[in-house]
Amino acid sequence: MKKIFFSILFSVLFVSGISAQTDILIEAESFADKGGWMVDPQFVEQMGSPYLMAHGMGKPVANAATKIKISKKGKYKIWVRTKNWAPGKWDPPGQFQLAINGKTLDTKLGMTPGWGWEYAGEVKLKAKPTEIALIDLTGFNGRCDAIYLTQSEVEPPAVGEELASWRKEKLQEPLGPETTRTFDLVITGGGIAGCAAAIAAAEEGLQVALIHDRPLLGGNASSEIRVHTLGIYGKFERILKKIDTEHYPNGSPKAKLDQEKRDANVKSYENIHLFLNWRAYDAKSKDGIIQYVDARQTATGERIRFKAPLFTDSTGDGWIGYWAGAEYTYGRESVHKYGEAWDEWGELWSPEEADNFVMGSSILWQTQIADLPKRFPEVPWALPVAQKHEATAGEWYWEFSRNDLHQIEDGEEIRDHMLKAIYGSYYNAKQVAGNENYELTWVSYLLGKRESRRLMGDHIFTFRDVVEEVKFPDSVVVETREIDVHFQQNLQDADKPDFLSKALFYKTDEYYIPYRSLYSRNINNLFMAGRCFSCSHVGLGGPRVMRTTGQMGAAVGFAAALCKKYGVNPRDIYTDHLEEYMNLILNQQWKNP
Amino acid sequence: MEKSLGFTLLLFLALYWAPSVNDRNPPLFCTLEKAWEVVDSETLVGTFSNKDTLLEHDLYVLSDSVGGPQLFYADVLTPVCIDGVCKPVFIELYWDLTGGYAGYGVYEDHPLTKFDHDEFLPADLEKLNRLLADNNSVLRRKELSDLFDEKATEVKKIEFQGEELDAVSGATKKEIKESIVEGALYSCYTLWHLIHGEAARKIEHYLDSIYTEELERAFLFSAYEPYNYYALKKMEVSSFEKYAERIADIFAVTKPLSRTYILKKMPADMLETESLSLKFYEHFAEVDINTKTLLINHLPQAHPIALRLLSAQLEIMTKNQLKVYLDVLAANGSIMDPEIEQHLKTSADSQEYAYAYLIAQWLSGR
Repeated sequence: MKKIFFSILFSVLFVSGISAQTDILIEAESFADKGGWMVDPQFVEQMGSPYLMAHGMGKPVANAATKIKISKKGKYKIWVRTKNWAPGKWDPPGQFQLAINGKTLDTKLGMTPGWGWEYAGEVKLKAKPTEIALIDLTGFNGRCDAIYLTQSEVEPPAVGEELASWRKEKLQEPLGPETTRTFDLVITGGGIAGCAAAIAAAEEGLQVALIHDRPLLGGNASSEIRVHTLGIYGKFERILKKIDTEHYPNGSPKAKLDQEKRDANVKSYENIHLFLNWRAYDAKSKDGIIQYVDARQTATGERIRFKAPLFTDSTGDGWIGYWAGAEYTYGRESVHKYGEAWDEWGELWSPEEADNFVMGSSILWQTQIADLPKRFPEVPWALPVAQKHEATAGEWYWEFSRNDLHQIEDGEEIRDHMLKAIYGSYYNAKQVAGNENYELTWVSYLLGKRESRRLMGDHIFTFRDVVEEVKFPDSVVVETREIDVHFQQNLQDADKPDFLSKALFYKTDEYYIPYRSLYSRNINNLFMAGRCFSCSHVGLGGPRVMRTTGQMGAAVGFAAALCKKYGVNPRDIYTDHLEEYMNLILNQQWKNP
Repeated sequence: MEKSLGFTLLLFLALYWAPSVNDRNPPLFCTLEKAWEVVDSETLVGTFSNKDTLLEHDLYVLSDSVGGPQLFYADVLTPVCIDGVCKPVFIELYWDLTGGYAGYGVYEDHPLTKFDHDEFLPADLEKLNRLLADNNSVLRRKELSDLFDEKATEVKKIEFQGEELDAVSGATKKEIKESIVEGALYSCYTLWHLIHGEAARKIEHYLDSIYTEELERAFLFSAYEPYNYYALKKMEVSSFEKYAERIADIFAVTKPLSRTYILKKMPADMLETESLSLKFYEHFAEVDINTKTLLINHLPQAHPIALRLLSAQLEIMTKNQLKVYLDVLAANGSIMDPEIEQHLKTSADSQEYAYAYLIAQWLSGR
């Protein structure tokens, strides 16, 4: 698709009967040339939009640039929506400037705490194409959400509903998406679970839409996050081997090889309609039935309405269920709720009183030893987090959770906290003699989440199901890997950095997850696969790893095929077609598609 | 089989020679040294086994002169075998009354040795103490074969496409190496499982059977943190008021896990009195960040003095903590304590506090 969508919107003022375009809103993520800036769509629900970020690991990234058309010449005030992401008694780390038609404006941006509009200056513009460029000054995660050129004196609204409706007005967005597409099954989230669901359903002949907000498939297993897949294949080895990873160290660049394998395998199915770089933003249900999911292209802002009789939530955060009104839970249940005690570990395992102290998110990173010494800039803004900690590599236990932070609502703060932990600890290590040649080669900017919303199904999978090794008539997932629940190290020792965790492992021979944990109990056409499946906090401890979530996905894909065959909803497969469903899962193992 | 019998015989002999309490070998490490000093008698309370050797070891409770339990103890002789070659390890093990590791002792004439027969150096002995104190060691969840190579002297190396890799999922090679005394992996593994295995479970059960109100009080007023935590866990919520002063003292010095436990368990109205609110909130600046959150969440039930105390600490609050604080303030109505107002204005003007702008916005919205 060569057509480039610029989300440039013109609000028209009528003065003395003559129309004139006197303000222009440019979404930064729609820049035609993004240079070295990354599109970050992770926090749209909190701060309002995908944004461009200069993730250069301390080296300024190449300029991003785009052209806009100015219709009316004159003086324009320029506002930039940005933030100082590490405010304090130091120079803000994410500074950048704006250049208009090659002329750099003096004002440095990224200076004010909290998302808001910073005034960049006033420029005289002619009524002709005008180039706008973002010039990164630091390489340390400067961020630009939008640029607003106006002849008005009024500062645009900064946050919340007011900003959202102002934005819609400036972008002149119609109420709904311009395009509607219809499929047999719409899967949102292209992690391992979503990919497995898509493959299973596609193999059974369904027309599947797979909506994913990144350019690469795999979620936490992708080469953008690089967590290796753990767990067993269960009855889905054939499918999961197409999309899983080798057991390389977390963060290894070898994730790229598995990425190629995964992308190629998923794309090989003609009836999987891939929507990469599309992020769902709404789902509407009526009488307990989801009617559609709306999604937006993360760079161009183009929108599509996805309709289907069946939907799968593999977003990890349970967004589809959340928007559609599915019952969900978040946090740690009281130990008494489901009887999930492990006395030896008490509160660390499951608390007497419910709370929101869930397992945290990770950001992985990598270094290498270069032939020559490599310098790394001062990072005073990172040291309050890193303190004295020294490190030249990360691992799974670089994990952050805090009881005042929500893994979804405070995602950006959690990500930024981890960036400070990484840059600060690496800086500390670089000051140690012998580490001169270390070079930072890769730091993810995507949160690798472990736990967020969990949608409630007919069965809530808990630790008891593991301890008692319950065999269900609808056991579709089997796993032998330990249950491991994490806690922050600083709970036991206040002197430990707050970004390191520990794991508690409960050994198990084998446990099972029933199909009834994979569909919503109150939204009748919604499956879930992945970490947002129906479980308790401790129940999630084991099956959150990606071969297990992949098993969930595949099981859901096959169930969707039977739903289509009989024109029924997910629950009906359990009540009326269980034998056929279990046989389908059994027999597909030997299929050679 | 013959070897096993030989060691069983050795074990009996060793037990026969076990020193009496009056002629005791002092432990090399003991977190409850004072408890050890007042020990006057020992009583056999059961046995525990080593899952690898299948040998049974006797478990004693050591008590003071009036019969008060102080420590649990075992004098252990266990074989360590690698490739069919065995050597004996002599060691005394100590547990606290909750089954937690308390320390170990060695005999002068039977020092701990590594696989190559070199004696443990002082640093090795300290490392072993640290390892045994870590109840969540990587040794906990792994079989020997998962961790070590055939000779059981080195951490197992796994290679993937020429690159050295984590030996096992969830544990990095570095983590394993940091956990053990090099050259003595099997000894470390065996001793760790003796400390944290069946013996610990038996002690927990035993404590349950002898736990009285008197012991609860002793635990609560002990200077030993694990006893405080145990007492708090066992305590009925209704007893919190009775021990409120002592609980506040524990809160001031204990670790974050216990602090958060206290704040979550305490009755909602416990902080209504000025004196108790002061005792808890005066530590706001120095307690960990998760405890701070819970203190702020308790503000609606606390004495108004707490709001005032915290107004001087706004600039160490996180964004969400500050939001909750301001919400509580707003819920208190339009009349504001002048001292709080002054602190708000000062913090709103701060050039260093990241969230000064939120206070400024809040003030302007009033």
